[in-house]
This record gives sequence, C-alpha cells and structure tokens, in this order.
Amino acid sequence: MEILEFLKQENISDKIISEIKSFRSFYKLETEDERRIPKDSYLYYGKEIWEEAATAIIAGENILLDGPKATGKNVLAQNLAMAFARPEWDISLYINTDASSLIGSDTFENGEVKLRKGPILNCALKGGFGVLDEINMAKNESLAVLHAVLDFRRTIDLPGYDRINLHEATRFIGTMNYGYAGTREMNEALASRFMVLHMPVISAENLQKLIKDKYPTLKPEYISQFAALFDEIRKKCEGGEISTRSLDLRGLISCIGMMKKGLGVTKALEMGLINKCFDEYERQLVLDIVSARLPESLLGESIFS
Amino acid sequence: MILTEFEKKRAANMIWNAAGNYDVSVGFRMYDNDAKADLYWNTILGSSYAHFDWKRLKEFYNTFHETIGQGTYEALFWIALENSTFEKEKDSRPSLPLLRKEYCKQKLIEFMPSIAESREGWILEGHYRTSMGEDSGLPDLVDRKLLSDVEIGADVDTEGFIKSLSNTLAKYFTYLPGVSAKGQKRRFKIPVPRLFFGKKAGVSNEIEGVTKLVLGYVENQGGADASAFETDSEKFNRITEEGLRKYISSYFGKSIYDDKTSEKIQRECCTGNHEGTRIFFTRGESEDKVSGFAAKMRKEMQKQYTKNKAFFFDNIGSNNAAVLELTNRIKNALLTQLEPTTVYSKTGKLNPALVWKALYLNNNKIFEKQVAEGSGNISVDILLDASASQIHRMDTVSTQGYIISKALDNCHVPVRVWGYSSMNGYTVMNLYRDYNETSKNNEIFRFFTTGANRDGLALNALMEQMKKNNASHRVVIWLTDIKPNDMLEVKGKSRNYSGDIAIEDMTELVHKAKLKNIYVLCAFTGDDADLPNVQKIFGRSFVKVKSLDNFASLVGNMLQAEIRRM
Repeated sequence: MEILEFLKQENISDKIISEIKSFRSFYKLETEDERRIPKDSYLYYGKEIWEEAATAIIAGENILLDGPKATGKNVLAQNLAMAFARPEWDISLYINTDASSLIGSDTFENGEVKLRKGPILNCALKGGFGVLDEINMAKNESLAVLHAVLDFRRTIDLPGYDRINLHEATRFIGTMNYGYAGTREMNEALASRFMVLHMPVISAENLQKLIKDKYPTLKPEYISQFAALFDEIRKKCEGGEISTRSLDLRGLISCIGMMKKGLGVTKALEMGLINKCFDEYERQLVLDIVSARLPESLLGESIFS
Repeated sequence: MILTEFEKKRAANMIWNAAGNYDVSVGFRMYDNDAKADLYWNTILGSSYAHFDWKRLKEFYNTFHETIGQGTYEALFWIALENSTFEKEKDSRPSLPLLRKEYCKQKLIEFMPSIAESREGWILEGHYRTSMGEDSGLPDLVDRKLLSDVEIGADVDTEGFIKSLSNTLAKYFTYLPGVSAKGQKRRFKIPVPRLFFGKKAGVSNEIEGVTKLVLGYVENQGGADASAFETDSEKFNRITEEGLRKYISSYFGKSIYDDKTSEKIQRECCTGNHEGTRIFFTRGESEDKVSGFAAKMRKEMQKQYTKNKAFFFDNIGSNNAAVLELTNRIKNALLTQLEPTTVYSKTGKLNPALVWKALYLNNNKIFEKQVAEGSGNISVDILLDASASQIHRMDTVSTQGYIISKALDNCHVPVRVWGYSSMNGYTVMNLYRDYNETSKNNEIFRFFTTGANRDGLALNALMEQMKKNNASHRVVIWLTDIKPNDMLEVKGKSRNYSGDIAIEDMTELVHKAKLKNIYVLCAFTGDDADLPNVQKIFGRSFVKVKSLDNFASLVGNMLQAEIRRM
C-alpha cells in the first residue's frame, strides 16, 4: 500500500497529508539516493503520534522518540522517511561512538590524506533523514559535536576542511529507551534540540490492526487472542516478573507467519517468544501465560480461514 | 516433596496474569500433587479477582467461620466460584475448557473414597463430572438440584453471586443469609480445618509447607520456629560474662580477633544507643569442644549448609546463567564509566602527522586507538539479616548471595559478605568471605538464621570494619526487613531495641555512613506497612524485593545506578 494512502486510511488530517505532498514535490531527489528510501517496512499505527511527528518534521524540527521496547520507535522513523520520501541513514550509537565516527575522519588514500565522510555528514549533504538509534547509549561528550547540526545553526564545521550547511530537507530522528541497561542520562543541551515524543505502548486495537494487516486471513477471534497474549506478557514485564526478552512484537508477527506455514501454535510461540528468555524460570512463566490462553493442541492451519 | 521458591513464584504469576493486575496480593496459591503450580486453579483464582470484589467475597466467606456447616459451606463456595469464574472467562481463553477437563479428569482419578462419604464430597464429585460434560451421576434428586443451584453461571456480579449462594445455603442448610458468623448456628470445640477437607497427617507424598485439599495443595503461610531446650549448665553459663562469651563462640564459631582487639572494637562500636551490648566477629570456625544445645545448633548449621549448597547446585544451569547475566550488566555499567586514553598502534584511526614514520622509519604505529581506563575503584559489602525472621528463605538468600559475589568477582569488584544476628546481648557478625577471597564463595552457603537483630549495631560494626578500605566508592548493600528487634535495652531510653527508637537509630547511622562516603543501599524484604520507615532511613536508596529469586538482579540494578552516579 502506498504510504500516503495508508495515512488517509488512518484518518490523518488532510492538511498534514497535503503538506507532506508539497514537501515531497519541493525537495527533489537524485536517482542514486532513491534506493535509500526505506521500502516494505512495517506500518506504524497510531493517529496521534503520526500527526505529532509529521507536524514536527514539516515545521523543520528534529524529533526524539522515547519509549520502551516494542513501541515502534524505529518503525515510525522508517515510516517518516517513507512518507516524506527522503533517503535514510541508520546511525546506531554505542558507548564508543565518537565525533569522527559520526562526522568523518581522515584517511590515507593514494598517498594523500582525504576525508572519509561519516553518516551524519552524508545525511546532511543529501538532505536525508538520519536515525540516531539508541541515542542515550553514547556519551554526551561525543554527541556535543552534533549541537550545531541539530539547532538553528544547521551547520557542520569540519576542522581542516570547510563549513558545511545542512541541506534544507535534513532531519534527525533520535530514538531512546530511557533507563534501559547501559544507557545514560541525556543532557539538557542535547534534549533541548529535539521535539520529544513519548511513544505509547501499542494499543490492543492498533496491535489487532497490525496483525490483520500482515495476515488478513487470520480468524478474528485469534487476532484478539494474540493481541491479549502480547498484552499479558507486557504486564508481566511491567510487573517486574520477567525481563523484556519475550516482549517481542517482531517475534510474535513472525510466529503467526510460521503458524500459517503449518507449525503448531504453541510450538511457533515457543520459537518466536518463549525461547527468547534464555533463563529457564522466565521461560516457564511465559509458557504459563501461553498455556492459560491457547490450547497446546491448536493447529497452525486451523486459525486461518 | 519440597515446594520450591520458584513454584511459589510461578503460582503467584499465574494468578497475577489471569487477574491482569500485578498489585493483587495473592491470598493463597494452588499446587498439584507434584508440588507444581496448578495452572487451571491459579488461572481461575486470578480471574476471580478480575470479575469479583474479593473484599466482599472474603466477608461473605468469613460468615462460615466455625458455624455448624463450615466445611460444607466452604466447599460449595469454591464450587460456585470456580463455576461462575469459568463461565465468565471461558470465551476469552480458548485453552480454559481443555485445562478444566484435564483437571477434573485427574481429580476423579485421585478421588478419595473417604471424601465421597460426605455430602459436599459427592456434590464435588458430581461437579467434576458435569464439568467434563457428563451426567453428575448423583442418585438423589435433591442433591442434583443443589448442585445445579450451586453451579452459578456467568451472569452475576459480586453481590449477585453472594445473594445466589446465600439463598442456596439457606434453602438446603441452616445458613442465615446476611448474618455474620456470630449469629450463625455454631459448632463448638471441634477443630475445624482452615479450608475444607483437611487431610490427615502422615501420608507419604506430603509436600512440606502446604496443606492438602481436594482441590490440590494450598500453601500454608505460617511456620514453626525451631524450638529446643537448653541444658541447665548452659542456662547457668549464660548468666556469667565469660560463660556467655564462651557460649556465643561455641554456638557461632571462634572469634576472628584476640581478646584485646575484641575489647577495642567493642569500645568503638557499642556506644550511644548500643552501650552495654556486645559485638562478636566470627568466620564460623567451630571451637574444638562443643556440647549441649550449641552442639545441636552446630549440627543444624551443618545440615543447612548442605541444604543451601544443594539448592544452588540443583539449579546450577540457571544459576550460572544468572551469574553471567549479572556479570555482563555490571561490566557494561562499569564500562560506561571508563575514560578513554589514546595509544598508538598498528591499526585504528590514522594519524596523518605520523605517516612519515611509516615511510622513512618503517614504524607502522601511525594509527591511534582508544583504550578505556577506570575512573576509580568500587568495593561492595553485602550485609545479610540472619535473624530468625528470615528462616524460610535461607537457601534462596544464600544462593542469591553467591550469585552476586561471583558476578562481582568476574568484574574484579572486591566484595565482602556478612550475615548478622543478635542473641543474649551479643550481635554476631558472621564473615562469609572477604574482599579478595574469590575462592571462598562457597562459604556463603553457611548462611543460617537465628535470634534477633540489632540492625544499627551491625551497621556500626561494619563501618568500623570499612575504615581500612580505601576504595574511592564504598557501597553497602543491606538485605533486611526493617524490623529491628533486640531484647537488650537502649540505655536510658527504652527497655528494648525496637520500634521508633530503633528506626531513629538506623536513620542516624545510615546518615553517618553517608558522611563517611559510604553508600548504604537497602534491599527491603519486609511488608508495605514498613515502607514509610524504609523511606525515612534510606531516602530513595532502596528497592523492594518482591521475590528473593531476583535479589541478585535487583542488586545489579542498584549497583548500575550507583556506578552511573559515580
């Protein structure tokens, strides 16, 4: 489905959709960059978040998506690049990320020292959408180099080279999971350069839509069963009884795919969700949730019409 | 068979899951004959929390107490609750009808003929049959009618349920609807089992700590303290100063210090609110000659040591996995604290200014590499409350203690583990392993609980012990239920060490520790009612330990937060 059609179907306001359209027609793309526009992504369901995020992008802001696991942060980021038809750069941040790995560093080529462009610089030159994944994994000090990129200056000053102005269509989308293992507190200077969206947990209704969208032949009663199952696992995570390993939306969707190919329902869930807990205790607790809801003997084929 | 911590936790999880609410405090949990959590009953119980107001149900249930028909009423109550909850829930859980059939089938196989002799017994048997979709098989028409009245359907709320069951009980028995237990016809002087169908003792496949009901095994929350008798000479010894010290050392083990050092430590620690008390440090090493009650307790300790060890090694797989996970988490947290320094190497980021070296000097070290270095060292002291209130969790606490120490060892973080308890005016600090004793983690399995707890003195003594520790970040993790209690007086203030005085004392000492740059974090195992006290003492530096099974991982969280703060 064309993404704009999807937005219409999700009742996104016409004004926003027409703004997206004019953004697209105003900022032309070079053919070589087209392959960087994400395709075949999952779709993000949630009218409010869509409208908020799209409005921020249209207004020229960078956005920060904050939320726990399985709230669709990266899906939304991809969807935004799709909707605005911009090339996308995935920049995963980790503890040792430093300025040179983001902007670029010198290299020795054919007896000459040259600049090897980093993803941020490439993104800035092409007017792409840069997704700064797990932004709070990196040290604040190494992100300080991004301050001028992200605020009104919209420039990158390369020591020893030139001062580069960002392409007008360039946007940065940060994602973070606050309080996740290994993450750090984000400093105010960086946070103030983003519009922050708190990603809500996917609602049961939207989860059902997502499953239905992926597997239109799945019987409605089972769509609601899987949505309820996912909700129960989430509650157990929030209750602090298990880790978030089995709270895996991608895993659940893949499970249903395997059921369609004929694997037993419990078997498929075991592979896709339950076994993701490598701790035996946790595994048992998740298995209990499944057993209390779906009969062990349920056949994969029988849940599709 | 032994009911494991895990099965208890699992049963609670089934209930929470079905209730859709993890705040529900689980009244009782059901287990099958193999001491495994019963999926069907726990799910029904949990669902009943979602559909009914348990406070009202409980009030209603209490009206049966010690009445003439208590056993019968309770039995019928559970049948009605099970049936109604099942009817409400069956459409939303496709597996429930199958689980119910399985359950009933199993119960009919196990059915004891003695139970079928009572009226509620045969009604229950009939209920199992109707649940499986068969005829109830009840010969008496009145009983058939009673069963169908008791099998309340889905279309009632809490009040409707109570009304319907009260009316049924009034119709078939002498129950008076809407009247409290006092007003009901009473049964006198006959011991009544807590729930219905208490099983006679001495049956072979008994599970420790639970009561057998027809429904399954229900967990018994109470527990008896190991009470024993002292010999006369021991009683006499206890009243002389020297005798008492001897008694303590033969009970808990040799003192770490000679008499002179002990005196000195005594003077330094036992001040203020703890004047007149005694402090004793030991590694649990037995005295040469031990007799009487102390010898008996030494034997008990040895037994518990074996038990604790077995508890760990029976689940060695998952315990090792827990060690590994905790190690990785702490390592990760420590890593974030490291400061990078640059070194020259043959690979890495090219430093153009050095290229000439490669060309003319044949020195290939023209690349820069970042290497992380520590920003300060951290040491951890784990202080475990070993008073009698922890008696039911010795194996779990020791296993979790082991996991933490092992993980910290793997991260090269010095860790020391202590247990403490108080007896006859002595507060005994039991040292299981010292900072550098990475090979002595097995000693943690010596964890044994007895006596009272004078928490303030234990912390004070620990602070004295930390004087020689020069780590830049000193952390104490304190596992306690914040129920300080010691019979010995607080001079001039109170006849014993407990309540507000003790809480004040602990608050003061934790603050004192902070001033000395020692961070005391509390892993709180007590009741919610004591939370205000915990907050008062520790501010925000505490976590509530819901289940000791994840104590190690909680400690990981606390350490992570602490390291981040460094």
